[in-house]
Amino acid sequence: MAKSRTKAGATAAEPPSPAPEPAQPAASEPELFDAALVPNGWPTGGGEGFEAMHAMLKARNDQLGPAFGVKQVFSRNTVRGWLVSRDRDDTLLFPHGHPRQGEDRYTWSDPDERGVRLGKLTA
Amino acid sequence: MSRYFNYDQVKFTPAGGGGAVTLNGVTGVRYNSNGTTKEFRGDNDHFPTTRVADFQNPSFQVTLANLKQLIQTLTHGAKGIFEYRMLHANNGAGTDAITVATATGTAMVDAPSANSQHGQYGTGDVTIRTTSADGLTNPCTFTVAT
Repeated sequence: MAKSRTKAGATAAEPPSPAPEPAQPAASEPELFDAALVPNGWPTGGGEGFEAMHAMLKARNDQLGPAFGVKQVFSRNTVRGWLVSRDRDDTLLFPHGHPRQGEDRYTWSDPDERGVRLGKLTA
Repeated sequence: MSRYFNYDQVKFTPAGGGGAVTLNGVTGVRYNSNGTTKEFRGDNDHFPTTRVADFQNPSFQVTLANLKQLIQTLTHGAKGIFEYRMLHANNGAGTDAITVATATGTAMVDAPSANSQHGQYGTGDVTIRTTSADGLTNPCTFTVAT
């Protein structure tokens, strides 16, 4: 069963802890996200078949990797488009058997002009 | 130009420990989404007027000559991680190689079979099937090397 990571490693069963002071990222540090939900076939890199697949994956490394703080991203298709993230085991929803089964694991931004939504793991 | 030639790092990592086993003597790996579509037609339609992609059931077909690994590691029902790397025709395992991998614990070995014939190398065939943790996410991920 895929793991069900939540923000900052918290689990639903853990008792609430005193709210820490929200971390204020330095102005020079870019905001990091946990995943992106992108339209099927985005971005197009030309070619057909496997060549198109390769171009698409390569462009996702370049365009989304920095948002996750990694060089290589994992892509897999879902019913809502492609879920792109830094972890091989990520899923769109909390997995079957999890107390929050069926709920979104991410809070998604509105889609940008490319149709890309950036997501952060829910607390 | 993105062209691919051969593959390496064909691995099965059994759930429950023991580490990844790199399969050798592999002569073929095939990824199949096993996607299906469903069409609608009615009234005076002579062609389908609606089609939806309704289901996917990703799997891998592996053919290998190492029958010892087939018997010892790829036992029917074994769960784990299956992965392999498609080598770029020009760069090999470097830039542009694509790794295909299942999420942890979502792969299951299904019906390994071994074939031995007089005067021929023995070959084994096995299907690796997958399950989705949430029902909406393909358990197979694709990553290209930078």
